[in-house]
Amino acid sequence: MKKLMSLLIYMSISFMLSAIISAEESDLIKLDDIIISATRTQSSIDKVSVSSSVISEKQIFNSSANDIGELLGETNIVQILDYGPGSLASASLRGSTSSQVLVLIDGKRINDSRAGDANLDIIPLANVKRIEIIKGGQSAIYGADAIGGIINITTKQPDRTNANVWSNIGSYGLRSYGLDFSERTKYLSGTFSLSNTSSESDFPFQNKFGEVLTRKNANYDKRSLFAKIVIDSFKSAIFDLSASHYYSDSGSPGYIGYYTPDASKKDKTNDLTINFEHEPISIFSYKITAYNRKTFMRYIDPTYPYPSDDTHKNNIKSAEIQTYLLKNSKIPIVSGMLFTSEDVNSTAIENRNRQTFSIYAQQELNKNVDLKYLKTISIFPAFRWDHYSDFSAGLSPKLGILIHLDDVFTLRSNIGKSYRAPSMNDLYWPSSAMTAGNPDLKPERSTDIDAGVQVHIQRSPKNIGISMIRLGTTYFKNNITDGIQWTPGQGGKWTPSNVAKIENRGVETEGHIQISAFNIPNFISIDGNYTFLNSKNNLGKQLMYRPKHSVGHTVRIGSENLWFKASGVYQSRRYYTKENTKWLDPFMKYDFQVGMERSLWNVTKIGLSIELKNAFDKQYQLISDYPLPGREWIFKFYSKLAMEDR
Amino acid sequence: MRSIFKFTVVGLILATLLLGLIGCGEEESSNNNITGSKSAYIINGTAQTLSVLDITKGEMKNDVMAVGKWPADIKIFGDKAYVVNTGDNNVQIVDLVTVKQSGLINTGDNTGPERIAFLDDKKAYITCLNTNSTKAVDLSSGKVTKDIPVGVGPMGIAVANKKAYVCNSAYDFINNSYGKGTVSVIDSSKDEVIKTLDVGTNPLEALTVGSKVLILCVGNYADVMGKLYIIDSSSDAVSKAIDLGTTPSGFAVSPKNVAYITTFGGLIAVDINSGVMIHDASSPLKDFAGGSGIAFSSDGNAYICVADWQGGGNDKLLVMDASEKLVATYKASGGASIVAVKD
Repeated sequence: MKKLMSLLIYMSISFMLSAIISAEESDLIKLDDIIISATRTQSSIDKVSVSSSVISEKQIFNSSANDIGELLGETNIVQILDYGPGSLASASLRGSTSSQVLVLIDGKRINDSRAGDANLDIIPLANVKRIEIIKGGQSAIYGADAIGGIINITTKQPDRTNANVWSNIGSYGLRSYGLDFSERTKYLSGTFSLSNTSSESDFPFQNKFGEVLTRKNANYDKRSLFAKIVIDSFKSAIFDLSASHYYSDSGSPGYIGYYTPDASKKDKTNDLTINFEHEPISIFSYKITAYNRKTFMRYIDPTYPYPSDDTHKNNIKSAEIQTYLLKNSKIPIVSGMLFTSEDVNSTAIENRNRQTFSIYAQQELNKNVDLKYLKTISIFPAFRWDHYSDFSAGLSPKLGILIHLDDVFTLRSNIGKSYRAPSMNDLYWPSSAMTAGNPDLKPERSTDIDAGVQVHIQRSPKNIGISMIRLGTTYFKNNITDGIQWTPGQGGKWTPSNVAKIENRGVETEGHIQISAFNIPNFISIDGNYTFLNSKNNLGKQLMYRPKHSVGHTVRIGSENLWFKASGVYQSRRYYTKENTKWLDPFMKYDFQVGMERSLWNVTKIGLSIELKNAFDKQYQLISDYPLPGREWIFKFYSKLAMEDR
Repeated sequence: MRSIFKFTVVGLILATLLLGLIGCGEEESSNNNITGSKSAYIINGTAQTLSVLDITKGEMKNDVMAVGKWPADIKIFGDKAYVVNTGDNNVQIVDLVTVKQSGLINTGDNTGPERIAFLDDKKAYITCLNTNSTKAVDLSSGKVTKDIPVGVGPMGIAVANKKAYVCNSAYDFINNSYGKGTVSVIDSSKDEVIKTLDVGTNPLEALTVGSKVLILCVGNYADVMGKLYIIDSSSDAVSKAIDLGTTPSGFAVSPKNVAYITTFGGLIAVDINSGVMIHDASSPLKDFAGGSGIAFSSDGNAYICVADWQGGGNDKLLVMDASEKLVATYKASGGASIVAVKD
């Protein structure tokens, strides 16, 4: 109750401030934004049936987060399961496991097929333009692992000529710097970025005997390089080539009570992608994408009595052709096929190969009705068929509907089936006295349905006043069958089987309010979201690490030249035993940030921001016995050089 | 009309948000600290809790208190229970009157405590898997007084004739195999190992019956089956080795000196005086199949934990009377696997 009161008081103060003081575009989630992931083509976020959010380039640039996991953890859009700095951070959507969230970079899946999930801690932000999050099952569009939804990370495009340099200095030895440069000409454009981030992460924490200790071996060092060349000198065609390299070397400190002071983890990723897009006629275009992604991970822990030295290499090759028919009509069709081959070389599961062939199609059926309380109806039927070399996946259908009652009210609903592929660990874990994989596993299956309403009111106040309100709420329900669970069989040998049944249902509510002042339409931006999640396992208990209540909110006040941002995240009790007998206490974490920016010679802007993370030094954990840092200061300096396109 | 509709929808959305915030308040759980003069205490491994069966009333109270991470042992000594938590590197001392934690013994980071045995009301020994040692503990202060190196992978421990007998499982984590199983004999006056005895593969559990020490070797969970060793504590020599023909889990000795051993297929039994199998692996007591922890009360009833490792919530405590009949079944909590009886 105390937490609730502090939350209400905090929000009240935020609103009072807005009334007293009553930025260019919102620094927060731009709800008017374009979204690609929903339909695989550019659509307005108001014209898709799915529940979606976009984190903009500006929000990413202003953030002092070092990686995707840290950035998403600052919102409540995605629930992050974080083992601490430099360690695994994965995502959960609508109560899903992290293996049931598909993470994509420019549409390319990065979930590790050996382990199943995607480690967001090793995705750098330096080359990221925007992040799209779609909640709810998406296997009809993207195939395996999209039960909870998808996170699609879009890399930078050389869409203007500019150069940025930035540097962060912060608590616990945080040092980072980066630069990106884009050059755009009529026929040839290119962008390049690099970043380096390191930290000792030697923060204090309390152990189970009440002693204050210093976290050791949580240090990390991350480097990234990214380059993209775009040639659009062909008639109605664009060719682009991009390459990225990532390397990280981090300590692995272990959990409270079992420390691994000498354990370390190295990650390396190299990625090469070619895209060719052609529009031979105005109603038809096609895109060919081919990529090769190589990942390397080595974990070494000499700590007795469980020393380990494991290396895992993945080599993914994929080719896809996508067509876009009846463009700009009311019944456009997107369809495509792709082939993916993945080679895994692992000290745990040896050499494995998986090949996937998929075909998919999605159509939009838009109808203008123009009745008084019924303006348009759009229907989104979609399907995808996947064939895997090592298990049977089959067909994933989906149907979405979007109804604009008028300019203010919108109704949305979706129903579909999704699945999660058994990980290669599940299938091929070597047989020993105590464990064995199960090559006969089936995919986890889900049926999900959601329905929501959105209110969007736009005004143009003369002086101070509300310029925009957008409120939305969505009910969702997701039944998962054939859930893969490791259990001991005869003789105590642990092996996975399709036995788990899970039901996730809840309500997501989000709001965005803009207040206009000093001729700036969003001088004050207030974003808030609340999720109620009832996530039941087969015992009828709440799933582990799924808060029943979670709240995120952000208030930003000011102009481009001087701004203040306050944000908070609350999560209620999270159980970490299946029987709900033990739990992590609720926590509320506040971050504050002040930034200023000045123009020099009309082409350069220099800026400074100071961020106070976890301002009230809250001791909290997202995974039991893995402490997270308390209060942190981060100073960010940057310079932006923008020139006219040649 | 339109305005009413607009305000209704906006109001409903805001109400959802507000109701959610109000719902953020968490209910506090409360323990029902009910324990009888004759009780069984059950460790629920996955739920990480203690359940209490009031034997006289026949009432089971589940999840009465939280225990630590990876609880591995519970022993009752005097009016206290001692719960060994491997993952938390500690031993919780539980007051059996209130069923609340009254103290904590810290074995140290990365020690991995597994089992506890008591020399007397002043001294106990705790085996520590990760340090290949046994800690001598002063019970009055709750502090470790000595770290005694033993063999590889110490697990079960029993005290007899003022000596502690430590099972060294010899598990080789790197190669996922078992070395030669041994028993280290610790002289309690010096807290030093005075002898090491060879036993079978993977000795995991030990208990004392008079001057005898019984060692349960589990085998390698594949082609090497379990064995029961009987050590004479006066000579510190193995007096009997009995092939079990199956992979055992836990064991306890009845007032009639019969060792009952839990297995996947059922309960098997050995007369420890004669070494003769009473129920062998081919004809086990099948009512008790899948049992793990087992303990006897003085009236000859056995209390047997049967954990539902599939996670279906069918965890049970079974009661077998002296005539080897199943007389009661109680629902336990997740991963019920270790039991101790006070009567």
